[in-house]
Amino acid sequence: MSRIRSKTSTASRRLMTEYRDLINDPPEGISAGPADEDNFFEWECLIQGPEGTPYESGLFPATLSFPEDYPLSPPTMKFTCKMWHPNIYNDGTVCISILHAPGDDPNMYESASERWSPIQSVEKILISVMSMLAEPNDESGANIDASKMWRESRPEFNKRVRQTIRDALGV
Amino acid sequence: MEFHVDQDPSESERSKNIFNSDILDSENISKPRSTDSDEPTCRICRGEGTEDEPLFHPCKCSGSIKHIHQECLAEWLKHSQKKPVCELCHTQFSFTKVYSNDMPTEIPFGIFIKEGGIRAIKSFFSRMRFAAVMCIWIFLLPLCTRKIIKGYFWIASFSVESIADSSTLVGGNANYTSFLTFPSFIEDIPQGTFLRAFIVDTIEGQVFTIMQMLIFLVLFLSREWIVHNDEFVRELQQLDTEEAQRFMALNTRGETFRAAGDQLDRQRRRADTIQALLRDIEVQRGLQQEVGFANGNEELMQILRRDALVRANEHFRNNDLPIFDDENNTDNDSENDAINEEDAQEPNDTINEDDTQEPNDEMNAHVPEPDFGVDDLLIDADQARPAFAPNHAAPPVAIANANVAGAGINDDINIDDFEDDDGAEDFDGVFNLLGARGPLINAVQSIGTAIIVIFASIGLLMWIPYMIGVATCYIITPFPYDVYAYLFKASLHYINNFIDLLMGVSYSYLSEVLRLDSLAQSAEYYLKAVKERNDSFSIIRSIDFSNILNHMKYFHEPFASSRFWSKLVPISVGYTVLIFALMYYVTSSWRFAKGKQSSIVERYLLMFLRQAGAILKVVFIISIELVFFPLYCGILLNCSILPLFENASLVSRWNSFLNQPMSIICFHWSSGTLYMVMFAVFVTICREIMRPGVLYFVRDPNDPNFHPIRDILKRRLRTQVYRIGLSGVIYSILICGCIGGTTWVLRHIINASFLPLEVPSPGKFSNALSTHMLCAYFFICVLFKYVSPRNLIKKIWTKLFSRGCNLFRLSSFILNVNVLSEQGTVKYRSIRAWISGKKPELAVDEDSIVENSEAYFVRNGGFVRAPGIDSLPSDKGYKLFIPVTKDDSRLDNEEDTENDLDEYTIVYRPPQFRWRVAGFLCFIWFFSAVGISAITILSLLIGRQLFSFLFSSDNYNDVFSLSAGGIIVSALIFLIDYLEQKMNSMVGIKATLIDYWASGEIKQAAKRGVKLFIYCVMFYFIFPLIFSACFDAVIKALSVRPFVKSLNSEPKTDQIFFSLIAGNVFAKYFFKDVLVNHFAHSKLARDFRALEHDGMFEYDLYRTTHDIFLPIVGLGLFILFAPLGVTWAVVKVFFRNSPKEKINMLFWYSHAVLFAVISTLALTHKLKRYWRDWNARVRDNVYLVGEQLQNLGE
Repeated sequence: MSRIRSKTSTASRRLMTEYRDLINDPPEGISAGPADEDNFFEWECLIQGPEGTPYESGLFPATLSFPEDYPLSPPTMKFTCKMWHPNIYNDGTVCISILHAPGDDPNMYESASERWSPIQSVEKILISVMSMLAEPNDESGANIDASKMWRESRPEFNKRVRQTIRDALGV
Repeated sequence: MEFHVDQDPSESERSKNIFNSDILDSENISKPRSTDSDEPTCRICRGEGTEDEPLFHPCKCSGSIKHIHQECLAEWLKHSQKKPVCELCHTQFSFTKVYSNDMPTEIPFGIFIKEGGIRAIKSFFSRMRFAAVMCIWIFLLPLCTRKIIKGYFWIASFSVESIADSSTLVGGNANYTSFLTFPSFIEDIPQGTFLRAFIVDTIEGQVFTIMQMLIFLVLFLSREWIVHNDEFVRELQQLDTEEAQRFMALNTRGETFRAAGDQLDRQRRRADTIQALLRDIEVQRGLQQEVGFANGNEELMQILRRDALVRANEHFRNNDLPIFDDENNTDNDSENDAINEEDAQEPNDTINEDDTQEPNDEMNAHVPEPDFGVDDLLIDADQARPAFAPNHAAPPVAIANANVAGAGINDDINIDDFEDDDGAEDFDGVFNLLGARGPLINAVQSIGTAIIVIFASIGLLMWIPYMIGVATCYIITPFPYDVYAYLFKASLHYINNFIDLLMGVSYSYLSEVLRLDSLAQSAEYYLKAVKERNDSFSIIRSIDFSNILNHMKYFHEPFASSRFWSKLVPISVGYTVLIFALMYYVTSSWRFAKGKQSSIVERYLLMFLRQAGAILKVVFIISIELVFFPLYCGILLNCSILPLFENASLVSRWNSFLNQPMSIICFHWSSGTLYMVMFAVFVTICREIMRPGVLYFVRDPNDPNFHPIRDILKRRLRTQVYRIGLSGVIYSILICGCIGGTTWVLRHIINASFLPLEVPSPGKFSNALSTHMLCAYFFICVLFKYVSPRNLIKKIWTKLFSRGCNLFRLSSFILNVNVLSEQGTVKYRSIRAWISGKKPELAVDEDSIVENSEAYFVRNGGFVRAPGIDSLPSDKGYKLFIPVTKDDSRLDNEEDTENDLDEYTIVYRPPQFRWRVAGFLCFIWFFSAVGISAITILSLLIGRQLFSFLFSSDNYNDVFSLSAGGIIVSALIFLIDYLEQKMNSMVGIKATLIDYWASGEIKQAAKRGVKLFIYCVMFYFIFPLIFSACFDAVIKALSVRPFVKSLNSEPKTDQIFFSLIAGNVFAKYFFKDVLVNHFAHSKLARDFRALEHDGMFEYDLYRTTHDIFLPIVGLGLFILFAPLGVTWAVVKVFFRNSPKEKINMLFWYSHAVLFAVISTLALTHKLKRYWRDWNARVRDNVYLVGEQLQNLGE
């Protein structure tokens, strides 16, 4: 192995390893991989809605964009389908503590231990996002309307989510 | 890109959730994971360890994140800018230093000197630079500020002159007096020298700068508050929309049509894309149905779904349609922002509704319902709607936040730069910004910016208002400022004279009628005062008039004298004029904008002005409530205690104000604030005593719905000022009536012998006050730790209230306690029955009068619905106090409406209700006045006795005696209360006494008492004495009076008193700070913590004596007497025949010698450590080649 490692090569090597591990031992309900073989820094992924939640029957595509200094900086995740969720912005960007580097939390709600560090991985991000779908974090609302609805009228929220999924699938 | 579904039967279980891309070859996939999970990998780069880059395991983490490359770790630490600690298990990473092989064991002297020299020079230069830069910021910039201000006002005076067409130019520095009072060493520098001008200007500039920063801070904070207020932001948006509409209405038709045409084009284009999209969706839906989407095969369905979604997604992206892309949409929105009202109202609508709308309803402010058919089919249609429909609050806040960030940068350069400073220490950022560190260009840049900002802000915020104010004053009033000052003084004088005259005349009349000598004396006093004042005033008057006449010549220079106030007055006048002008502009319909661009500019300007108006409103109201109101209360308080002092009148107070304006203002403000706080506490106690809802008209600060800022923003200024004025009137009545009335009665009616109070002169006062405060502090601390005065006061008040309520038959109304006997009056049939006070039988059911007894009970009054909660929204016009029957059916024959109370309590209201309430209030006032003055007078007298006993001087100081007596009296009261509680709890004392003895409780109590006694004696008496004695011994030996001598020569009570106080400070410092912070791990600290933990009743006496008391006392005695002993021995051996003075000298300085020895030892120890550190640092600088990460446990 060469001693000189640029940031990009570290990042792509690590991404390659992560991808291999994901293929070899895929976690339940999640799949992810680079969108393009030339560019390992843009991933496509699919997350199955966790069972027992209004997202149950849905399948949600998202993109993961990795920075050049990955794994030092976290990737950003953006759903490419419409999502109705307290922690997902209207444009699909996911707001979750694991995707924030310690110290740059916009809402200052999350403790430092749940933040991004190189120990985390794509797999962990996706699992966290999946559990976020199951249990929204009320404190750091990205979509305030959804937050409010989730807090105040859960049945309406659930209905809305199901409707979104149905619309997305075109049923 | 395509995804294919892996349908290999052997992998089907696993592939359930995977989609695989083509780029992975099959070997890679089938490679089992187990082969690489054995090999440890780096937790950051996921690579294996090699010869060059071995893996380390530096922390407690295990499993897949156990290992790490040193380089990866270094990179992460550099990136995260954290301490070298594992973010997961918080183990500190440790590195071993690796030195180069040719390092000698001893560092050569030459290298050592060289390194030291370089370091010294570097640190010298950095320090010099620091000093220089700080000098610029602290002295030169304020000086510059002052010069800029002077320059501005020079221009102003010049232009004023030219306006007035006067021949004399005023503004020379010759008779310039500063608005500040300086300490004597500055005042001693002669006028007109450069040094004096420099010092005075710098200090004035600093004051100006600080004031400027404070003003900015206040504005910034209130802006923060305001923009976080959703309602205000929404209102602002609405106003903006209206403004846009108004512009639309004013605008020419042609332009509207052109805009409409533009939009039509755009909408057509968008309609096309939407249709294309819809087709696409249709196609996909067909596809899904073809494959048998709904037949229940879950796996297949998911795969299909996924496929469809991904493809759809891909398709959308390729076509670059704005469906999933909000930014795209908002961009389009902002293009037609100026014309589209909807955009202002719904800034976050994800799908542009007005696109589907026909362009010919352009002028409509109302949003028509969009074409539902098209809209419904869109994937995100239903998501788009709730985004704007139910809740407008969120997006404006976000926008506002963005605004705040921008404003932060504009308002204050500091904030901007702090945030740029990514993750560095705060101080580093500040120093970099100031230019003390980092590149030199920073310093130049920021100093330049600061000067420009100062220049601009003074020009904008001071000079322009000043000019406007001067112009206004010139137009309105042609007289100089001094004329008004003179008029004010004269009117004060005449008012005072009038009051005194009135008092004198009425007193002399009253004294003749009532035959009270005291009143006659007072009358004489007042009349004499009037006469004296008139004599002195006639002199002033003659001088002043000549002055005024002199001034009258300068008709055209209203503010010639360069006094601070003479600048302040025109500036405030200017601000008033500006504010009114801008208010007129905002509220009127006149607008300068004609074109589209300028209308946008004007709308921004209007938004800004409205925000500024809101800030002004908030600042105005808050400053009234927090500054002027307490000040007013303080002044009233001072006025109302005037009768307590000899020779005190309004004029004397005014004169002392003129002498020391700032300190008098501060004094009044703080006493007023204190009074208001006390009053608030009192109201809270009343609230607790009374039924909720009685004080519905007083705002409850604990009410969760109470948002002061929102209230200020929402209500109109006039109502708020009116309300403040009303509470001002109430406070004045309370202060003047309750306090002033009491003092007046004490002085003039009772003519109490202890009056007037003796208060020392100000100079003496402040010196003595500090000692006194210290003394009082300790006692109050101890007192408040073990008794809660609030509970006692509440207890007393509760008793007073229940008595009063009973007397005035208000128990039900005020306390919500239904007392049957209060609900009517007792009638007697004969005088005999009345005299014997026969109790009537109380009929339980109503209206049944027991007629046949001699005394019978007649019910009167009735029941009403009273508010049941304190937090009654005042803006709703509730109908209060509706008469009802006992069972809550209305007596006014009306139905319950909206305006009725939601939460009410049914209470009994006696007849002549108002009079009863007034009587009740008088009752409360009378008893509290008597009680409080009795306690005050008692404490005063006791304090006087105490002080005359202790210090045997008649010249007592009443401030001291009052507080000393106050402590004694309150201690007595608490003791009585405590005993009363104990007595109550021990009912049947004889029987229980035996039980107590048997159960050992008395023994226990005695033990506790002994422990408490020992604790108090040790911590508040013996330790302080030892500490202060040691301190005295060492420090005084070094100065003029050796300890031994002072012990021998002046053993006075006050010396012990002072050493007790000082020793208490030392002991507190030692136990709370030195022991806790610097010797936290010592045995003594641990023992002390144990003692604190156990408390002063329960501590282990033996262990504490052994571990704390004896060692400290022993050490103290050792320090005190060991030097004396040693000296004695030395004298006996060596100086047997020396003269007595010499021997005495030896004794005197023995402690100093001991101290010197100890401090030398400590210093050597410190130096040794410093030397070691320095050695290590030089070694590191010269020979260090790298650091090696250390594995955990190695």
